[in-house]
Amino acid sequence: VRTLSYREAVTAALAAELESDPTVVVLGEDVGLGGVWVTTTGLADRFPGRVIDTPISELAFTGAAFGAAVRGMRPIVEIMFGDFLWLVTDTLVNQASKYWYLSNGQASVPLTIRTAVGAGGRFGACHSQTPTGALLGEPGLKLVAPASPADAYLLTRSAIRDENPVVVFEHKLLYGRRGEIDEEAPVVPIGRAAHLRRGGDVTLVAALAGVEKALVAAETLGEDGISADVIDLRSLRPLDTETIAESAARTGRLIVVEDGPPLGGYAAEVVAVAAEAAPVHVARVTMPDLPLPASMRLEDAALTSVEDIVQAARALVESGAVVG
Amino acid sequence: MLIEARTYRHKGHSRLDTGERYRPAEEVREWLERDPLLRAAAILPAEVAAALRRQVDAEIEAAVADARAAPWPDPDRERGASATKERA
Repeated sequence: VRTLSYREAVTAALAAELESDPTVVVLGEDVGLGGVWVTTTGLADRFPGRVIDTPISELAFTGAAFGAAVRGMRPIVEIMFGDFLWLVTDTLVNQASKYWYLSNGQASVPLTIRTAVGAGGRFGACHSQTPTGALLGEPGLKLVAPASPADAYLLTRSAIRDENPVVVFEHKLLYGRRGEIDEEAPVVPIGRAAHLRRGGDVTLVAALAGVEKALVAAETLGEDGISADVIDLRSLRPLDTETIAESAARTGRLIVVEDGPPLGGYAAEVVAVAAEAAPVHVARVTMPDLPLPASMRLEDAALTSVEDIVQAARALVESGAVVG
Repeated sequence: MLIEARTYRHKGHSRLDTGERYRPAEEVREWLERDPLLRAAAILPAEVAAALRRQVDAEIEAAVADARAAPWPDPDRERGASATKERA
């Protein structure tokens, strides 16, 4: 067990897989120097020829990685900003995610795409998105979202070992967070959420930077005598329907926190999963239905806050609505 | 009239790329010497070039001062904004 930052945990996960599997390679812009997020530091020296700087053409190098994956390599692509995922959607959605089906199982695509997402970093409308929603509806893809250094380590390793294309969403504001990682922990398949706190009055579901906010909100609610269940999704696709449905059915009240627009996101899917399983009162805490404003005051106002979560939870509890 | 201008990126593309990581330093230096602003200044009378420079500096400083003096936008008012422009 070591204490590492979230970004160091990513590096440690990449190093562990580069070490254990000679077919693993890393591609991306400036990755040879450590990358702009400082997540590949030292790897080019430690693994000569396997950490490859690419030209600024996301579709070209992701297409190359797709081809390499089909032919038996295990490439890890760094897309500098999640916003640039739009540039690679053709190879990711039309080719990589469908190849196993289209080839009648002749070849799978063990491709990992890592990308930095999230607002709050003063990067403006085109460098702050968390484009999870658009990829939620793509069969054949897996999407993971680490909220802690421990998960930055474990989920990255799980993603690399997965036989299918996986997108790892890393949150820019979490890179500096420190926490313990366990390098001896087993690398388990993707798909389980984490139950971070137990409570019976309301279920708070979040991902990425929203998890910290949900935990603080749960503390505040606890002082008011409202006990909250807190779930960190960890995997956005597949969703851990069992954990979501069990908690929502037990508390009867569900709040989903998503730092993204209100339509078409994982918050909507979590609500649907819970409602299909049992009657439940729901609320979503999301950003406004607008591109992210550039002004820092407006950006801060657009982000979900602890206060937003607390208010939404209080409103559900105080409405007196009870199900079941 | 069609003007074809062959241009060159003076600086790097990110904080890590200083501009000489993926290009020979000599090539970057040659292009910097051909900077069209420097070449234009060289063919103007010195006092005209100096006056233009002062004028442009003043415009930029005034714009920065305006921006600094402007009130912060009001989140409550902006929240009512629409992401799309509606036909009147």
